[in-house]
Amino acid sequence: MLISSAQKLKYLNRRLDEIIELRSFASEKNFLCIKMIAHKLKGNGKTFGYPLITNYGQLLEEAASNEDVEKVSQLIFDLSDTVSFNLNELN
Amino acid sequence: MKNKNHSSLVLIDDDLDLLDLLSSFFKQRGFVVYSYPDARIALSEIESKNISVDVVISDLIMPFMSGLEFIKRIREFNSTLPVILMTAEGSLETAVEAISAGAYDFVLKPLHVPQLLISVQRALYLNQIQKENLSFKNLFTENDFMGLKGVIGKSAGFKKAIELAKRVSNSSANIIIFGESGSGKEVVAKAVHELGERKNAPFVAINCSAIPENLLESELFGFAKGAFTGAVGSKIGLFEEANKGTVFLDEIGDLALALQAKLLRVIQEKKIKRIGENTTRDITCRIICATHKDLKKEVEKGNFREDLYFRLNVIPISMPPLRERIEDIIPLSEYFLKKFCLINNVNLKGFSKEALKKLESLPWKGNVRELENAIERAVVLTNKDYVDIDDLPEDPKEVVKSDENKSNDLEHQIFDKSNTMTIDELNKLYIEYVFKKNAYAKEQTAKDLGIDRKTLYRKLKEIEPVANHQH
Repeated sequence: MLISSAQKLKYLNRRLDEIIELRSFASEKNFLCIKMIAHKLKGNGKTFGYPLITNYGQLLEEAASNEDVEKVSQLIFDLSDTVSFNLNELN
Repeated sequence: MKNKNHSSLVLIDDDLDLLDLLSSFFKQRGFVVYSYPDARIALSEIESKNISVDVVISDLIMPFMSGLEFIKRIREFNSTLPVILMTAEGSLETAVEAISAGAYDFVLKPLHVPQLLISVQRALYLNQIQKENLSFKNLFTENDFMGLKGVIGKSAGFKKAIELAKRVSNSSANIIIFGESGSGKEVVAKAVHELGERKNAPFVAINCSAIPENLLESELFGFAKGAFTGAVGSKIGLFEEANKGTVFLDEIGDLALALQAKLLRVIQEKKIKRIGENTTRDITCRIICATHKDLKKEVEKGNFREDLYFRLNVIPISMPPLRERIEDIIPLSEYFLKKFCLINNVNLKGFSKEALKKLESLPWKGNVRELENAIERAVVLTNKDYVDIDDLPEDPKEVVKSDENKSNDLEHQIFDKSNTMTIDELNKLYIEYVFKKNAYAKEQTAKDLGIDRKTLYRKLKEIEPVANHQH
């Protein structure tokens, strides 16, 4: 299935908003909300052509389940990096 | 498969990106799409029938109502709507739980959208079949007469016949049903079967006039291996097959004398012998017979055994011809209209006033069977959204008149010097002519031609499809 650039752009921009939310939840140690967002990322990344986002979603969901603060922070950073890289590519 | 351009789809997912993506994907393919980020709102819209929906795609894990909860709630008022669940939780347990809850399919995230489309198309196909199935079921159950499904009639004559059938259904007395061809003798026989204790056992019907004598004997009694050339194995007969049930022998008046003697023994002794066997076997079925003939006259003519006649004529039931129960014509016509609309997948509103009048005025010599054929033909041929007077057959009286006017044509065809025909061709042409002249009444046609009904059946089969469509 072909995903248009506009759809991809919209998708990645929404992820930027989610990364802000993830950072905020991480500082509050709100692992339940992190898990919910991570679960969504796991489900939608590959569909939009970003398998790496699906991978980060899965790892983040596991890390949040284990309440592993350090891993959660690292994965949010990596996710943010990936989203920014792909946004630059599109622009 | 249903035309996808008219199919409606409900999408439920709290992931707005996926909701947008799937929505545009299915809209591009002609679907009418309703998207909801919250399953509770989707449920309320479907329940209140604000939207018409053919298939639902729902996420499994959502904040306010899960996909499983959604299915459970929707099944409370809609048992057939296919729901496809999506989830990033790919465990076997979750899949089993989803299917057990009533999901049609289970797809994993990240989604492979073309695969999801295949699942949706299959679900639509299933939904269409289920809807059709339900319509057929409703058609039968809405016509409930004295506990009998699909039995239609409100005339006094029809009611009397069914009421008598009900009264005798639990007795073991022999029953014979009299009535013209196509008047519904088998309906009465089935009523006796369905209303009695034998209803869960088989109902086996056979037309004695449609099967050659030697074949009929093996059909009824069965045969042992090697009983005759070609009997490579043994076969049980219908009397045995209808174990504890009912055997319905239609057109018993056409049964050959030799078989009448054998049938008499079966009725008296409740035992049969398979062809080529010496041992007797007990039978447990009830035998119901029917005929369009006046058996008393047939006895006088020596065509029917008097002892068998008295043995059968314990409880006679008469099924009046359709022309004597005019009140049944409209309900029957409406029933057949619904039936053939469903079969042919067309949507007709009903009959015009003129068509209804004509239906009641036609003589229906072929009775309910002829009416059924006429409605089927009208449903297939009409180019309006209802059945009109022109879609119905001509009044046979008019056809006869017109055929008489055309008799010169027959004469012309026979004596046209440039177009000679064989005796066989002439034979067929003449049978067809007499059949039409008698408004497709077989009994009279056979009489006029000086042949028996069996021969007429065979000849008409040869003339197919010109005359045989009127059977």
